[in-house]
Order: sequence, then C-alpha cells, then structure tokens
Amino acid sequence: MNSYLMFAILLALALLQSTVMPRITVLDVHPDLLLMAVTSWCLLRGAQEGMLWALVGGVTTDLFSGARFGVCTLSLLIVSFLSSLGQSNIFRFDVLIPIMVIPLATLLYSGIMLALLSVLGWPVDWAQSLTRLVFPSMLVNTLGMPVVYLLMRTLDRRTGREEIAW
Amino acid sequence: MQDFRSRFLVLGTLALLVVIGLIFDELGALGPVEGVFLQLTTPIQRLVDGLAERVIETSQSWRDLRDLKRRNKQLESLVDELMIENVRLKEVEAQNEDLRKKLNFVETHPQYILKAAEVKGRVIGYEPSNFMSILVIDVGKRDGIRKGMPVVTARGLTGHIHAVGTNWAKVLLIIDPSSSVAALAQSSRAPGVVSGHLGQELFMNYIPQEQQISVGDVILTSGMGGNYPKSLLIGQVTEVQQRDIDTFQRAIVWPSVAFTQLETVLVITSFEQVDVEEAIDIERTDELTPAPESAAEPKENGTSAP
Repeated sequence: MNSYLMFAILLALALLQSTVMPRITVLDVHPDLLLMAVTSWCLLRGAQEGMLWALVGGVTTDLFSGARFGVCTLSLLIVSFLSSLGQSNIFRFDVLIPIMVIPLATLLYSGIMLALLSVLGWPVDWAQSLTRLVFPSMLVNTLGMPVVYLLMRTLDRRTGREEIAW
Repeated sequence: MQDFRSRFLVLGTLALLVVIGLIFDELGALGPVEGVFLQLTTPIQRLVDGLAERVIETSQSWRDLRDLKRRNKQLESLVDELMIENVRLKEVEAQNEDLRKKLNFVETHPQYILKAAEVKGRVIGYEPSNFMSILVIDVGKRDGIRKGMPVVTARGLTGHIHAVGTNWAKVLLIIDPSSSVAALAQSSRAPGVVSGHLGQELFMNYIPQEQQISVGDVILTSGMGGNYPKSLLIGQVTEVQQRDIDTFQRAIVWPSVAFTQLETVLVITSFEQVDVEEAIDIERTDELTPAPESAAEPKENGTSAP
C-alpha cells in the first residue's frame, strides 16, 4: 500500500476515534476503531505491515490523547505483534478468526495501557476498570469487528502489499 | 523461528523508540511536535466534528422530535438558570449570615466568577481511549488560555486546562480518576475532596465523620488548595456511605454538568491559581533562613530571629 494512503487512512481513523467514536456509546464505552483496524490489518497482512500501522496509528492517537506520549503506541505495537501471529493465508477470508482475536486483543491492549498509565502515575482502579470498561469494550469491539474487518479486507484486495525492509 | 526472531527484533526496536519518545515527552521536549501536529489537525478535527454533529442531528430530524428537543432545551436552560440562581441565592444567604456573625470581616464576593473574564471554547475532540476523560477545545494560547485555568459551563464546574497549544487546549474533566477538587456541601459546609471515578458519577471523599451530609445536598467548590474558584457548582449528593469504623464518610455526587453533551465550555482566564505547596515551601525557607543583620539588631529584646 502506498505510504501516503496509509498515513491518510490512519490519520482519518485517529480523527474519527477522537471525534465521532466518543459520540457512539454502547454499555458506557465507545468502540476502539483504531484497535479493530490495526488488528484486522495484522491478520490480513502480517507483522511487518501490521506493526507499521500500529506505530503510525498509535503515534497519531497519542498526539490527540491527554495521556503521556507513547502509551497508546506501545500498547498497539505489542498487540499488533501478537495479533500477527494469528495471520493465516488459509483463513484470511474467514470472519470468525478476527471475531475470536479481537476480545483477546482488547483485553491485552487495555491491560498494557492501564499498566503503563499506572506506572506513569495515573490512578488506576484495576477492578473497576476491568468490570466497567475493559469487559464491555471486549464485547463492543467484538460486535464492531466484522464490519471493520470486511472494510479492511476490501482495502486489502484493492491495494498491493508493501515491501518493507526493517 | 528465524522469522519470529526478526519480528521480535523489530518489535523491540520500535518499543525502544517509543520509550525514548516517552522519556522526551516526560522532559517536555515533545511539546513543539505535539503543538505543530494539533495546530495542523485542529481545523480538520473541527470540520470532522462539525460534520459528525450535523450527520447525527440530521438523522434525528423528525419535525416533532425537533420541536420537542427545542422545547426541552428551553426548559433545560430555564432549569439551569433557576438552579444557578438558586445556588447563588443560597450562597448569598449563607454569606450574609456568616458576615453578620463576623462583623468587619471582609470577604471576596463568592460570585466573582461572574466578574471573571471568560473565553468560550468549542469542543472539537475527545480522549480517544476509554480510560481517561479529556476534551479538546478550539481555543489556546492565542486566546489567553494557560495551563491550570478552570473550565466551566452554565451548569457548573467542568474541569481544568491540562495542556495548551496555540489554537487548542486539552481539558481534564472532573470525572477523570486523576482529578480532585476541594469541595463542600452547601447547606452543612461539610468539607471533602471530590474526585473522578470511572463512569459519570463523582466521589466526595474525606468528609469528617462528625459532619452532616445527606442525599440531595448541593456540592460546591470550596476554593481550598487554590486550584479552583470558590462556590462553583459541582453536583448533588445521591448517596452517602457512612460506617462507624471508617475515619471518613464518602458521598456519591451526580455532576451538574452533562459531560456527554458538551458543545461549548467557558475558560475562566482571570482566576489566579495559588500553588499552596510552593507557598508552604517559601514559608519554611523563610523560617529556616537567618534574618539579615540589619533586622537582627534588636537582639536585646530577645524577639529577633536566631
């Protein structure tokens, strides 16, 4: 995929995440569009492109966020790395895989984010965060994942694979 | 295996880069980068937010519903006005009583917020994650906004400026778990600290056991700590948690501001924050510093500093 297109898509996702998504509240949480998109991309394109998406998307989101820079990026990078392990060419078109992966990705992403916030001095109530935010987020993201994954799959079909040399 | 190792190496390198970025951020070196980025994206953010707002509004544009909405808004604003008026009158009454008790005692008018300079900022973005409660508004340094300034709406206290750029500012809402505001109950004057909690409600902690607090009490800022002006409306008590074995009581407060429906906020630009810790440090330093020789002359009286 063209780098400019990737930047434009991720900037748009980060903008949507900070403007539109907070208006959509289900079970007192809002869907994490960027996490769903990055996880989908990892499953479709593997670690290299997935981690690049996580890096760019995470940095963009961190700049919009009030938390310390890097919290979102680091969490997304780790999640993208682990999600890409589930990449498979055989099951690429099966929507069931992303539906199974996203709750785990949400749990891991939230866990890392809360741990980082806690380390950086932000007061974190683990029990409350898990019951009131993380578990509902897992459900909400699972419900939204099929739509995001199908959109990402369309994008995957229409764009070529980027040759990334690390 | 080789592939996994190379992936892991890439992850490690990227993570290291992010940690370096985090350290730079901690040192304040990333401020200009963030400033430039947000300055460039603020117009787009405003546009996207405006579009989103319009799309949502259009989808609900049944005429009768709109009429109901308008009427509801009118009634809400009337309730707001009456609530503010009520709070103001009660405060005036309490102050009047206090002043009667303490003759010759001059106190600043509690409604000084009405005299304060205010800057109206439009909400253009929200915190992307579910774990924090932060807003982005479209006013910044060029409008006289500085870090720490209190942010209010017609309904009451909203938060304070957490970060500021040229044409943007981030507002840390009082419902964020990291926020704490010195407060008191309007009727009994019971003091406490209102802090954010996950969700929309607030906790008022550290209420002394001997103080009277009950459901329905109006909670206001006390002005203690010097971070917020006095007598700003915070909310109303919905539940009191009192156990004899505890040192303090706790109250659950429902905020007067509807945080999910914020469109515009006011930033109080004339409020001078007082850094209490700094003031105490200065006082301690003064106590420890030996007095200058000229001042130490009346030693005979035994009243000068050692």
